[in-house]
Amino acid sequence: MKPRRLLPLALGLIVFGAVLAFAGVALNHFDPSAYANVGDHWYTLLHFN
Amino acid sequence: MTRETFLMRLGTGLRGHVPAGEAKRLVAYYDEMIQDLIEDGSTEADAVAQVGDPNDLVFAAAQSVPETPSQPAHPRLLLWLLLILGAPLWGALAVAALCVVASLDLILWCGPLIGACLASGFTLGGGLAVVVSPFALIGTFDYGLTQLGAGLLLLGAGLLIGWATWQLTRLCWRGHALLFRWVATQWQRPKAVFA
Amino acid sequence: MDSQLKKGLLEYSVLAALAPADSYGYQVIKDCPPALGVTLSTLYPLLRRLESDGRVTTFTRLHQGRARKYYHLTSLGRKSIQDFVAEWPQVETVVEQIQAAAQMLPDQEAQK
Repeated sequence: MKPRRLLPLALGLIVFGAVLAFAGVALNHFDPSAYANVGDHWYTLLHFN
Repeated sequence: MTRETFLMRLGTGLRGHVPAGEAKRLVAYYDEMIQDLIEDGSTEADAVAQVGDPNDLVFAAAQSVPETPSQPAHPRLLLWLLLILGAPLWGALAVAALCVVASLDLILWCGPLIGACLASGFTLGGGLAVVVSPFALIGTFDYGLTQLGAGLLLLGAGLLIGWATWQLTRLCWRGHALLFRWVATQWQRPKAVFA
Repeated sequence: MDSQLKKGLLEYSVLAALAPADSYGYQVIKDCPPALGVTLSTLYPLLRRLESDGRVTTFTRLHQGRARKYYHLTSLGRKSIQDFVAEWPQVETVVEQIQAAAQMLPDQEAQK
């Protein structure tokens, strides 16, 4: 791929990723403490299900 | 113009155009002429005017520099001997100069190195986050969505930095070429000897 | 006078000016015939050349509290003058040829 085409792709990914991340946080009601349990969540998901 | 001014202008004008010894002779010649003219009854200003414009004299002198008897060539052996005997001095200076050049080059390439590290880190980390995010999406949708978004964002940032690094590398390559071309020209340029 | 001709005569005139006695730059200019038009700036390279040729040597003498450069004719310089004079008959033959041609010039103009 030409480096010139890389630039719009990178910018697109950044904007799209930011929107998705924002949506995820919004769904979580902007509660940062909720993410503290993510590690536990994964642990239980992998080991106990 | 006074005699002093004339001689000063002539001397300064000749500097760099004719050998120093020749310039001295010329100044002495015109000084003597002016004084002889004054002795013969001219005023100082008149005498200087008769001698002419210093700039013209400089031009004429620069056009016809009399050939100086060529000095006998340095014995080659002596030069080599001096070169070898002086090795501890010029060798140390040469090594120091080379180190300076090498460190300049190193500093130059630090930029692309940092850029490449950042780009690969962001791209790998972001890519991994994106690849793993479906599992998170299955588990808890909003966490997964955040991870996917953050992953894409990091991936984009990595690509962006990669692109910037690519541009920087091209610049650095040019700088590197310039630096070494400059070093190479130092070799060919005749050196002034400070002694 | 033609500048090329002057150029050839100049150095012998300067040598001749030094022949009676050692002399200095300004005096040499005064001793040379005005027709040659010796100037300060033309004399310098000439003297320089004569000196490097070995036809003239220089020495410095004090004159009224200042140094003055004197020029002395060497034996080589004297020989140079004699050679020039010895060659003069040859120059004269050339001059005669030119003069003869010059006398014929008006006739040619009339024939046209």
